[in-house]
Amino acid sequence: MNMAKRLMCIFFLVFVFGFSLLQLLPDQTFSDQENRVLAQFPEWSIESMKSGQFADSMEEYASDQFPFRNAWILINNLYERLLMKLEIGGSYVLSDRLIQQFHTVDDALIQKNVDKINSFSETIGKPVDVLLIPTASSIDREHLSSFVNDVDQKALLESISNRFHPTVSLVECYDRLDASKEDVYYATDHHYNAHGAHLVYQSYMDHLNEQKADFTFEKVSDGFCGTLYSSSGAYYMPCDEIVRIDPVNHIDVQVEYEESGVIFDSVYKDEKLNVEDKYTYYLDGNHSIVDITTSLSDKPSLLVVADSYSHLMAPYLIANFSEIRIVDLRYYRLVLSEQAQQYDQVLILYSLENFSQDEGLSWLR
Amino acid sequence: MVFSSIIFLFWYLPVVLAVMKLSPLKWRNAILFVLSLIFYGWSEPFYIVLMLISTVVDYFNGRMVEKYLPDKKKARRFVIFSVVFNMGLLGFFKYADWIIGMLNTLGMNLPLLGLTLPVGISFYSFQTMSYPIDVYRGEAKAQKNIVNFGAYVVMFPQLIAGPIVRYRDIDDQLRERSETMDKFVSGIERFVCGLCKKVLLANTAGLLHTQIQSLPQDRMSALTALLSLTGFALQIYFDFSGYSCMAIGLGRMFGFELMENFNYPYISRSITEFWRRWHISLSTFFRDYVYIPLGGNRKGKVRQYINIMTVWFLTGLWHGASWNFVLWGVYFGVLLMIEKAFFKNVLDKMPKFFSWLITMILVWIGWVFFAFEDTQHIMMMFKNLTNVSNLINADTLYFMRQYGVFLIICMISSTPWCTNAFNSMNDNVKSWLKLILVVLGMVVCTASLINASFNPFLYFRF
Repeated sequence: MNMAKRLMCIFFLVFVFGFSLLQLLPDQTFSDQENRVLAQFPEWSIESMKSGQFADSMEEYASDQFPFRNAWILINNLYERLLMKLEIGGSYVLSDRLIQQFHTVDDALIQKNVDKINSFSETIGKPVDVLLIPTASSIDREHLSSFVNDVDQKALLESISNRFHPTVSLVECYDRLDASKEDVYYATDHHYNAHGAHLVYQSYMDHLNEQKADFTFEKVSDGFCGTLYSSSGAYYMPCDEIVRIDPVNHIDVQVEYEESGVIFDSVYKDEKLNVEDKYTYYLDGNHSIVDITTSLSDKPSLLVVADSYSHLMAPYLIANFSEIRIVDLRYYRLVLSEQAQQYDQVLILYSLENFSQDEGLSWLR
Repeated sequence: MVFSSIIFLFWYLPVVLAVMKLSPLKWRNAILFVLSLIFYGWSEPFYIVLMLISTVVDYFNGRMVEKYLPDKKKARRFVIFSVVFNMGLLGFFKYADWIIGMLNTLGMNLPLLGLTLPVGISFYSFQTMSYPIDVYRGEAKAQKNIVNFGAYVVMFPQLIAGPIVRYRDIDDQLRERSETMDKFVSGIERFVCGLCKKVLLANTAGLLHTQIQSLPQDRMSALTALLSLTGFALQIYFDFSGYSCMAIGLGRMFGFELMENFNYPYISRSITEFWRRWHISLSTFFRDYVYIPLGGNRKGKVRQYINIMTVWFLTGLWHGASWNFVLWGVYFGVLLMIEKAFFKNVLDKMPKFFSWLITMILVWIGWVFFAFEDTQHIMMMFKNLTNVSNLINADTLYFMRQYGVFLIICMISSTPWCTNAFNSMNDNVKSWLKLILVVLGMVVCTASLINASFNPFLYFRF
């Protein structure tokens, strides 16, 4: 038996036994890198055993708690890059950024969401404005390989716009984002960045014929590694900046989450700059309802039905409204039509990608 | 439990290795028996009983056949009992709902049983049945020790997806087998090679197939459909042959030699050759226990063709309780008859490339029947594949670009080129190269398993 064979035998045994012993180390509860709660040891029951659920949960548990999990995910990313894949874990991996893939649309779902908005506007007897934010795979297409064949979001927006009733208007923001020389998306996250949100704010104000306020920008963190970073395993990407946005003319705000009675005096949560998902710095991440009252009491009030794209829009909107209520239908399931009467403006704000995939809008009523 | 899982690799395998290697030789069959039951019970705790009953019944059948062997008539009764029992078991658990469903469409109104198919039943019911038959034919001796027999039936490497081990092939190994370091190392090589086929090739090929299948119909071009079908063909080959390699490798680590199950089927130049290279243990089983007993080719041309069709009808049916599998089997039966009649001679005289191409086109067409369970999907796939007005589109180019390197690796892995190149090296270089490949293979497979949300196993339910 030669040296190489002996080494192979040793390697195999050390690998298999070594990692099985290392799994006895204490379990982790949260993965910073992936920004999600890790699976814990599953509960055993006759039913779960019988249905095979237990075996599945065990596999999930073992894989989530595997020693050096992040290193393995990185190895897998590097292996897939070696195969010269364009898309890894749902993102196109470029040298300086990750771009979320947007390969197919479910047209039936889009039609359903359009119908929901049309009938909502009818129910409340008011015009409704809709902002659908295109994603980077269209706006940043010049960075992508010419082989990429993602959804033509400009055409999709046009087709959606044509399906809205006259009382519903789709606010144009595509061209403004597309014309920007500066990056409008985070390099490692699927959201627009502070600049992108600013451009969308300007589009909305133009649409309302309102005056656009001026803002100051201040970098508060440069260690934001977003969702695309987590899901692709491209842990070598440089991370993004988080920017604090303030109106040049100071405005006082009162922010209340989920009608809790606790009032904050800022749309920012400073302590969130220390967590992995620093996008939650804006409006504390996902909440079913957020109520913002500003010192501009003579301005109109606004109801926003939105996904997480609203979090970074809020710092801009406070400059033009007296009251803003933001509702996230992924978490809010009550009837909205009556409260909508009390607001001067109604805005629906979604990422186009989310709008064409999210079932949440079926709760719009 | 499946081999390509963290639980198997890093929980079960170390325990089995430690317990098996440290225990005295004479206990090893008993330990293998118990550990295999744990392996099986992990995902199917209640069906263990079924397997044990099957084991006991055929242990008894084997003993009885041997006892009455001088009186062929009496011995035969036990063989028939075994066949009826095993086929009844398989029929009940695998085909009952399918048959009820058919009766219901004919106007009856029977309730469905809703039984889940016990994993591996298609494999172990064949194996236990082969045992009394082999004893009856004098090809094996009856096993006196029920634990040894049990170890044969439930032996975990081949338990849930083959290869189908005939009793006579393993009879001697149950009594005595050698466990050497050389065998152990060669077992590691085979196992890691199989793991790579499954985790790195089959899973990715499956992703290509499912991603294309989720495209809306208006984006499907002929070449995109062909890519999808190729993804399926590669997935099923690397999945199944990978599983067989892992089984053979694991068997070897514990001193068993299981039969080869695949021999580069995608280089075949006729359907006859393809079935000599694809799922060899199944075709061998049907040849030995159905085709030859029916008379094979010894009773005239007409009988031979009937026998071929019977075998292929059953082969199709064995793959699943659905008409598309029967169609798939019958399709190959017809092709084999045509080849027997004249076409094999035509293929043999053709330039190699063309006979290969024709064979692969026929095999790929077969996979359409295999991949989709309903006629609507099958027809749609054929329509897409032959859609000359939309030969190629932007999606085709995207998938070619995304999976290009991967597809080239798959193509090379489907041929014996690498193995041949390997064998021409000198032993020292070869073993160092193998070491590097095993290390890389284990590391990348582990990474891929930890990352994977896509790890289906196609033959699991057969």
